[in-house]
Amino acid sequence: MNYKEQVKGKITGKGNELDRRKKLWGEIDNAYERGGEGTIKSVLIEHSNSITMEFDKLLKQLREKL
Amino acid sequence: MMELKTLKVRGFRAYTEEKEFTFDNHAIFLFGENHRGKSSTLNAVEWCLFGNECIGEKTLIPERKYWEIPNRNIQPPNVLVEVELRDKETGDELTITRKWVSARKDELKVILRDGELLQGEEAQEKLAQLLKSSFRDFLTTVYQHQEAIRAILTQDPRERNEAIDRLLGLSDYRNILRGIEMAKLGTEQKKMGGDFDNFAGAIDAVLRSRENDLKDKRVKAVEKGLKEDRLCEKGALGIASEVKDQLLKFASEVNLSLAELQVPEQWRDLNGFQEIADGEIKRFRSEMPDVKKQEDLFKRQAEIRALKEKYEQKENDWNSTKTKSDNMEKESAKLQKEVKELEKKITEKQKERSEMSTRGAVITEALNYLRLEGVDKNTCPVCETEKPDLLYELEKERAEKYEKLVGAIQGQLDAFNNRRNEINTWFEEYDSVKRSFEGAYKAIGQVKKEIGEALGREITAEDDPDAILSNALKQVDKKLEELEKAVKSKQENLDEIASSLGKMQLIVDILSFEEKKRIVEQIQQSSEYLRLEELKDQMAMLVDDIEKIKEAISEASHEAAEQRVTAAGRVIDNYFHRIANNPSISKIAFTLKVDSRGLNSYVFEDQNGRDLTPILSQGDLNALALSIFLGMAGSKETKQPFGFIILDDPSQSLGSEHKEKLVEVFDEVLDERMVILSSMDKELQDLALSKITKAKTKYVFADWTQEQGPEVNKE
Repeated sequence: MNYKEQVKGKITGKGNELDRRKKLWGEIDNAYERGGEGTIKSVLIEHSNSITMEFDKLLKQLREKL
Repeated sequence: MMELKTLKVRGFRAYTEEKEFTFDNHAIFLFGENHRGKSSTLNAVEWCLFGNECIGEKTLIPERKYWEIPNRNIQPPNVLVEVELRDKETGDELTITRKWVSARKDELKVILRDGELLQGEEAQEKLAQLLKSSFRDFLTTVYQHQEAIRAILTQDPRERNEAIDRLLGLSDYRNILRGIEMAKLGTEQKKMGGDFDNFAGAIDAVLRSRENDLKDKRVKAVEKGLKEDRLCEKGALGIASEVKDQLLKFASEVNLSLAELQVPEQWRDLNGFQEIADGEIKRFRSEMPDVKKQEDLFKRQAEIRALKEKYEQKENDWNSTKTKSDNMEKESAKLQKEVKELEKKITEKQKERSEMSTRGAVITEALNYLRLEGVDKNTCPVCETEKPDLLYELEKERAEKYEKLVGAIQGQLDAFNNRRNEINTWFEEYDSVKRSFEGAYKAIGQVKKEIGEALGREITAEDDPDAILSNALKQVDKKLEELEKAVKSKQENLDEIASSLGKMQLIVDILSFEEKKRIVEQIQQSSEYLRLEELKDQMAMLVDDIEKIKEAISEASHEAAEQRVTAAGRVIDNYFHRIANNPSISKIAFTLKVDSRGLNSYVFEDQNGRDLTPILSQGDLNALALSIFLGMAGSKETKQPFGFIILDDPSQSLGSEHKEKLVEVFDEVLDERMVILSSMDKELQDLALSKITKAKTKYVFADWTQEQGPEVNKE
């Protein structure tokens, strides 16, 4: 069994949680296969940015309201 | 596993002309003295596979910091390295060509088995897929560089553990973990959580502040007599309406007009209403007729008071000068008489002095004559009477009688003159007093005229202006007193209206604070806020997922490491005993732990459980490093993408016995991998040639010239 399967087999979680983590692992692994560590970093930052950018925008709007 | 098939080098470091190597046996020897181009040959393989990754400080190899790729003797640079690889399992072949363009740029081409040519990024991506290794992996697992030895034996556990992980073929786990950590999602989540908490805290603070403000205003409203049921929009608008009615009524009473004042429909517009109403109250206070009258009377009062004061002052002046003048008039008659007497006395005394002076002059003349004529000085020339010392006696008599007498007369004259001068001065003052008296009289007349003008009547000599002014002042005071009562009543009326306005403003403030509080409360319930919270949770979930994945990677890595250490441990122990042959070490325990970051941590201990690295000699350490390197490379449990290993001058610090054993180990490793051995050590060369039982290819680096580069002969 290669490392991908080994890691996948070790991921814990219940129901959707487990599926979600396995999917994320799949993305990380693909990124690594595509371009190594730097690509993993880019993919995860992309994930994070999709959340933080909306968060920052909303926070700015709400601060103005306050 | 990929094996080396051919290598073509041109213009790379020690190379000028193109040279080609064929790796047609498992044992490849590059033998020759130093500075003949052996290392450049091995470096060419690295550069072809990894390009600029193997240059610079990041490689942790000191001499690579300012590494130059092109040979300085070829201008312009013409660097090309081509490596042909073959997959040991599938037989697929792959040609990789790298051409130097500049210090930062090169051209990469990959030709696949089916002839497909890939270039640039596409070629780079394919190469990464096929090799599944970074330069760091290559350095620690394939190319036994002295830096790799140092990394394994370093006292820095992190560097050592990482090097061993790579040796064990566990680079993927470590690389993936590093890639995940590079994203720093935990930091991002912490920042996001902090931002959210700060914002939530700010909302709470604003709400608390609004609640306190509201509480204060409600207390004030109750103190001002407002009932709870009026603390609403209806209450505020009702008060506004009452204020308007009160102002209209007041304006009518004082005969003034009221500015345009509309009671708004909403409490939010009451600020404008209040501004106008406030302005009108201020205007009424100053413009109502009674106040105007009051102001006029105050002016009149001040005018009469000033006239009264002026008159009293002038009258005082006149009285005092009159008294003085009267007194001096009485004195003047007496003094005039005294002056006449003095003048008479002065005339008499002047005459007396004149006579005395004449008589004295005659006597002086006579004496002078007697002296000149030589007359007997004891006989009087007039009466011829005999008199002893006549001239002397006459002279003495003249001095005593006439000079003394003239002096006395002159003294009296001076006294008379002085007194006369005093009296003259007095008369001058008397004239001045008389003039002042006349001036004061005229001034009184002027003030009387002013009083007459001010009161609108004539002031005759029979009138008492002071009494007239006092009466006028009393009349003004009486009118003022009456007006003050009226004005006070109206001002109180306006005060009441202003107080109503204040209550209305208090309700407006309460409504405004309530609205602000509502807005803040609405923020907390808004879809944006809920979404914000959701995003924060999403980020926490992402970080949690990542943590779980990291745990899984760490666990899988540890599990795999354990399997491989168990398998390779025996081989390493075996190799070390054979190469080092150190009687004090009967056993090497190669154990695995997990560090605080969840990464694999390796320990080498002797039979007594002590760390081995600090007690070994340089030769032993080198033997241990080679044992680990070869043990891992030779172990079937380790998974490496490359089917060859490169050993560059591995016999440093090794004795003859070490070298012989090392060659025996090489022979075993050759069962699994191709071994490319580069050495200038004649003893090792001979041992390799005689002891290695596998087919060998030997390249002899005989010479090196600036123009042609290495002279390489295949044997």
